[in-house]
Amino acid sequence: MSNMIIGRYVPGNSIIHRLDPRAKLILSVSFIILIFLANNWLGYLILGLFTLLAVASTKISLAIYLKGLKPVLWLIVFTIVLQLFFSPSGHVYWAFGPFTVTNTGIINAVYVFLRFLFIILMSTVLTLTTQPLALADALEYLMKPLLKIKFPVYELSLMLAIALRFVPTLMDETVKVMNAQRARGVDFANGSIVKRSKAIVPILIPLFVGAIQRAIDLGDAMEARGYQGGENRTKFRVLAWQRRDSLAVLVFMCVLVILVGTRFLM
Amino acid sequence: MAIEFKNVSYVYQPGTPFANNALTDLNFKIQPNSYTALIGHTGSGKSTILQLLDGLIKPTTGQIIFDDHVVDNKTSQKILAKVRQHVGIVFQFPESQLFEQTVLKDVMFGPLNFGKNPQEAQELAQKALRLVNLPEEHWQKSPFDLSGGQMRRVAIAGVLAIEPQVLILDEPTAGLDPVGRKEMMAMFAELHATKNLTIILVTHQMEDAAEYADDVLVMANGQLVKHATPMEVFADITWLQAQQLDVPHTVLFKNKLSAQGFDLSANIINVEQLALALQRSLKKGGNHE
Repeated sequence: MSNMIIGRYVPGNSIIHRLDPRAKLILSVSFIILIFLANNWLGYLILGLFTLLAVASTKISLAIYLKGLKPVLWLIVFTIVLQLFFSPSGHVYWAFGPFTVTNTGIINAVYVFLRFLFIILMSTVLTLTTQPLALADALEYLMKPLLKIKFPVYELSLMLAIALRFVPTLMDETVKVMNAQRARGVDFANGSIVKRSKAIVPILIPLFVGAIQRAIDLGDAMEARGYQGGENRTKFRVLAWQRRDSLAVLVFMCVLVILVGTRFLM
Repeated sequence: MAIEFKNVSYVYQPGTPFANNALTDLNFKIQPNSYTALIGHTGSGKSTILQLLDGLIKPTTGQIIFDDHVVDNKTSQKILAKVRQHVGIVFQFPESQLFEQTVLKDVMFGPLNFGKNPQEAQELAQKALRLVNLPEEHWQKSPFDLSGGQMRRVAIAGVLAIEPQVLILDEPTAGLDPVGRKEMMAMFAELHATKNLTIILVTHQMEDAAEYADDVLVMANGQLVKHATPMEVFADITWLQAQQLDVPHTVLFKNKLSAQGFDLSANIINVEQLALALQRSLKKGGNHE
């Protein structure tokens, strides 16, 4: 469980840590769109530099980022292989049955790899430097316009906040139950797939029982205090847009303009 | 079975920003058939010791010597599984490990995992359920239909069914009412006496440690700060308070009586000793009043 890096907050005090979560959320999502603006090596170079700049300014060691890449490694490899062997057009270097390696195929494979890399690194920057609850707050704020169409924004963000809040609790609970069942002789690491999937039942049932019980208790506690989201409720964590947030948006805009520029230049 | 810790240290998530020294250079030995109390306040490293004792984690450095197995950082899972077969652990709130459709099936889970056939497993389960005094009428019920105290008994039976030589108890009476508490502790004392079980008890109830243990390990900040008899540990009120540990009620009560002029010996930590000393003191006529 300890190698789950995506979605894990690393405390710190870097400029990126201090950015408003709304700014970080908007910019990270926009970045994914931005990536598709690049269509030549210069564009990717600029994107790469921008990503590296963001990564470096979090002051979190690169090793943690690399660890975060591990879980998606196979997805990346799979996509690269698809691009590499199944590109229909371009100058053919090598062919065997349905497999062809062409110059456009190689270039596309490299681009796809870079896109993956940048997106994952950028989202890791977001999750490593932002507390999940801050993200939930940002999301609530950004969804506020939806209130006009009677969308249950407060309820949804409360659900999200509660879900995020209980991720570590459930993780602890899982470790506890796993330990208890291992002590009773369950072997999670060895044996056939059938045997190993069977070993999941003694973990899942206690986890569900515990989670449902906890949900009932939490619901009771909230009801007893007359909780109601929305109207006139003040916030414990108040979001404040600072000059550095505007600055971050400005930097992002510059990259955007330069990227559009490279499309004409090349 | 004897268990010996030799220069054992444990670090959580080494090499990451979350690295955390949980245990530092532990050395102690748990004698066969002993009843050891492990005390210390939250975060002192008790839970980590428990997991090491049951082979659930491996020491970062140092060795743990079980009778015929040595566990260090490189020990294989196979050896650890063998260790687990001889060491049973009852975790805090063990009822959260129940999952089977019936009580009996749940208790059979351990023996089946350790390679017993269904027939043997059922016999072991029935034996264990009798040991924890769970009436036979409940054996075919779903464990989730039982009361909290009964669920705990089922969970404990599930551990006893693997016939461990060492039984580790992590605050086994937490959340029970006073009667349930007393019954539970008496049950463990009987198992210790009749089954030659080595017991390791983690507790915040100093009275329990003073009453039942014959050896006490005191932990603070991942280090062993005292390894002595209950008498030595609990008679020293100033030291206990310096460690932010509770003083057993019996010791406090004895001191109050002494202050009132009762002639009581210094070596009193549990109820029985106190009662006998009081009786003696009263017979002598005492010099109170």
